[in-house]
Amino acid sequence: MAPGPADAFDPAAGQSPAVQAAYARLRSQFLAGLPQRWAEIVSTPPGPSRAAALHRLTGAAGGYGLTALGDAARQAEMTGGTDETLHAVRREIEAVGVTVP
Amino acid sequence: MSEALRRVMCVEDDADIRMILEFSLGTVGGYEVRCCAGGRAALQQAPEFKPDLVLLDVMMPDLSGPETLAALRELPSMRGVPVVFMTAKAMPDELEQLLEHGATGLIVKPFDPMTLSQDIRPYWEHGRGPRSG
Repeated sequence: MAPGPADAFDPAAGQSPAVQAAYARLRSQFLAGLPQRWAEIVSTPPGPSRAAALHRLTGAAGGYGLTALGDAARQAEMTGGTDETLHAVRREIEAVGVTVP
Repeated sequence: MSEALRRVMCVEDDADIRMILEFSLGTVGGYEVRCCAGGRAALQQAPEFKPDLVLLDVMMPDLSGPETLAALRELPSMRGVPVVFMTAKAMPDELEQLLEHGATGLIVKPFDPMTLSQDIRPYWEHGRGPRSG
């Protein structure tokens, strides 16, 4: 499969080429959707709704091999999404090569 | 009921997680997969799809996982079907509380998409019971 972001691990390593290709397509779609996720998170005031958006990111990111992003989202969720914890989420999004506004 | 685990229903409100579930259980695991975006859709589709096992998200906007589980158990065709919660909550007391709702087991998100199809098998083997309808 195509090389992934520098800090991501590849769960599909060792799988058949067809499975690796399918996983790579899914991961590309997920990465392409990160700016929209980020926009939803920052446009929601800190509190339960922002925490819910971060909760969904926590659950999704790890499945796509983005463990550090998932961990940062979990930490932010636990605080309700304070601005300080969101900085770490943004940093991890940018670390996987995605630009957010 | 089925003597093999063939059909898996997934109930999950996040589209990216639904896609990785379809990949993990369908492409990797070879199961017939039906993904629903919420509990109400699952309640409508379960009698027709007749899943052998249900993976059920806990935090959903329309019906929560525990509410969906309770409603599924009211369907005659679903009474003996193992239902496994999926949750990104990882605190032991939270996990225990979820099991008290009557789920067969718990899968903690994020899950490994390459092993999920095998990880659910013990829940089907040990959690299935007689069902009707």
